[in-house]
Amino acid sequence: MDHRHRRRPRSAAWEYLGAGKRSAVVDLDADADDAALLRSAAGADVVLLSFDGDAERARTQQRAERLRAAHPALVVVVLSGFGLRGPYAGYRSTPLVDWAMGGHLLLNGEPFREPIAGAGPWSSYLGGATATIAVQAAALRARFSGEGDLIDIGNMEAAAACHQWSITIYTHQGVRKTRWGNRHGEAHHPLALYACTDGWVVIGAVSRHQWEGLCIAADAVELLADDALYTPAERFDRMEEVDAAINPFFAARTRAEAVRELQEHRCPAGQVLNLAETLRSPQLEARGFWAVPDGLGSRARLPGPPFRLNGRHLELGPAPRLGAHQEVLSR
Amino acid sequence: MSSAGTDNTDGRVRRPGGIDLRGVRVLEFSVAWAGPMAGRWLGELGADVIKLEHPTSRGLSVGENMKADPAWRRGDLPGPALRNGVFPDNDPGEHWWNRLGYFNKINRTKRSLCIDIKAPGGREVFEELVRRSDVVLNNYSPRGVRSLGIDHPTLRAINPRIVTVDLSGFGATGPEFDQVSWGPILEAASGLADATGYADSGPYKQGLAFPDAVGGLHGTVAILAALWERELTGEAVHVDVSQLETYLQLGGDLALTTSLSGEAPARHGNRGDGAAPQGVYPCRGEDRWLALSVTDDGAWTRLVALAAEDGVQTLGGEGRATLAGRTAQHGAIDAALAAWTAGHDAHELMARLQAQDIPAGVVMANEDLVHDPHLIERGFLATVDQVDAGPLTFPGFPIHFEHHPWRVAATPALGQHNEEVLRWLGYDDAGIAALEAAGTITQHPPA
Repeated sequence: MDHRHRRRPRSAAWEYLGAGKRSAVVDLDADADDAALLRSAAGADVVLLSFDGDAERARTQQRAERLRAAHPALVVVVLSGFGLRGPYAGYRSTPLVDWAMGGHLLLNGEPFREPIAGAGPWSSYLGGATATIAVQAAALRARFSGEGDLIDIGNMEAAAACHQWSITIYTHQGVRKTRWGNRHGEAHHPLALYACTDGWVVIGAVSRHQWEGLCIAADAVELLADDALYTPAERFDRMEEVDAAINPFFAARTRAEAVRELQEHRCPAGQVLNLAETLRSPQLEARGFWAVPDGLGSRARLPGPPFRLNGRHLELGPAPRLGAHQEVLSR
Repeated sequence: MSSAGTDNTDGRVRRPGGIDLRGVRVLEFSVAWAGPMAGRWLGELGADVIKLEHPTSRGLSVGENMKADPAWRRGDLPGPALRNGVFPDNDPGEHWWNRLGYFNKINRTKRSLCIDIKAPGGREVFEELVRRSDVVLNNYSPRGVRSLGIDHPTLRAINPRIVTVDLSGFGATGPEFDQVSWGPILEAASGLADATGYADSGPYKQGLAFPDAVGGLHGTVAILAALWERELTGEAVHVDVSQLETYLQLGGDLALTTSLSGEAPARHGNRGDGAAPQGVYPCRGEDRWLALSVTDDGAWTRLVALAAEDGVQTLGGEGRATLAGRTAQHGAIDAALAAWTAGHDAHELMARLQAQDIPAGVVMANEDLVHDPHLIERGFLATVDQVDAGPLTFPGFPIHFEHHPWRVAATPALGQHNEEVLRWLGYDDAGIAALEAAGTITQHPPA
């Protein structure tokens, strides 16, 4: 359901995130609409609420508690930047702010420049995926016990839960993790991007045989004479020396040539594709990954579901027009 | 050794804070990050997760290199020989395989059965476990799955209600199904690394193997969906998860606009369409930053007033009252903002901005997260008594159920639950000793 004050024109985000849903518009500040929401929740298994800022937090908390009191079997999920409680609970949030507060932003970009975020509202998507897990688990229990739940999820925590060893190297060793540009800190090299004549490739020479394959393919066999460089973290400490030896290989080849030669030497490698190229990926095409949304033209593509159950795709319907299913409120 | 707290009446672990999946047993074959993450989430939701570990899965002993470095001091990056292990206090100790920080972070709230299922008697143990389990999860390559005989047709023949999960890099089918799938390789294939970067730069990968985290999350979603499916049909379910496809879930709107325009998205650093100014600005101290998004004109007015309190008069200006105007002057606004923020502590400035209802946040380092009052009050950080290591703190679980507070158990020692699991399966002393003698089960990696 969409709040009356948040109507937006049709957008790419709406088409993506609204796929397979129905739409009703309510004014949560109006008593009649609020009552209609409470009533219509009787036919629902799950109610998902979100808020931003302190004023909305208080109202959302009250609404969630009313819903739970009226419908004990209902699963109510509240998704926000920082959660319903805690010192930042009333803070305003955006995807960039959540990404920064979750500890990911600092780790990306050049060491000598400002950190940079990924290409999208990724903290919001992490929060959404986390909420999906919570809903599935709580709904499974509600199915058998008849007992619903109130679930509180903050994007900051959802992001903080998705660190590799960033937090662990601090709690275990006191090490402050930072960013390393297109290299992968701190224990492996080269697991990195390199510039070719027509773009970039990524390589992952982590194991002994992958390192040997890289050095042979890149005509940098002199590196193999140095036993210390067989340790991936030693290569990380001497990344400038390593990269100086292998960069000429990439600089003289196209992406396709570099990847082919590296793979022939059992060194994992791939082209850095732009999104237009990814849309033409034979792998994704063969798996029927892309969904074709209705009404947006034959070229339009959206990501389909990322998993198959017994080989079946889960079909998604189109995103609805705003308020197209207003009748759900009258039930 | 600490215990996960078990009750052997039916062989299931009684989790102190199990939430919703009590009664579900998961067998986990997994390495690296995505598969273990999915298993850990299921464990923390209450499932009984048994991690089947090959004796070499935590590594081989490498002799002299595994000795503590006396010159190391807390805060220093460890030397190359020990760095990969993330050992507590950079000390591998006697049982280094139970002190691997990166491993212990991602494998807690599970049981460990250290078994080579290709060794004598191993297959029989595994098949009996499959008969008594609900889910078999792997994140091996499709070739590895077939080699181990843990593919869906084989396991369905053993247990007609089994849920099998292949969580692979590119999916179980397609021309690239067996390619190596390190996280950065998946990022590159997704098109999202190319879309990430400064406006004047080439593409950028993430600083950690982010597709593994995204794959682990969506893998958990997929497993729960499969349990629902089985509940409805009563039959076995095969789940095929592609980490590449999970990663592309982060770029749905970008994919749509690219498909319609034919043009790959431009890189624009930290800027976005719905906010101006939006960016990351320097603060006092080394590598300290503040993220700021001005999402409406009122927030802009309040920001200008706040900066003026500090004597900064260059922020407001003609034509900046609207989003379009600020977007057109974004570079000049960034320079004025940076001149202001550089003299301030990031945490203090965040608090002042948020008090004015302006979205702003400290660009947190790992140390900030560990000491952050918000995460501490919400109980996000988890301290567990880690086997062979003692109490250690790890990131916790981000879902807060009203009536079911989560708790976590430490990562098990290698093979910690060998005997417990085997006795539950009906093995006696002689049977267990025979498996040990054959090298099928162990609690130590081979030298």
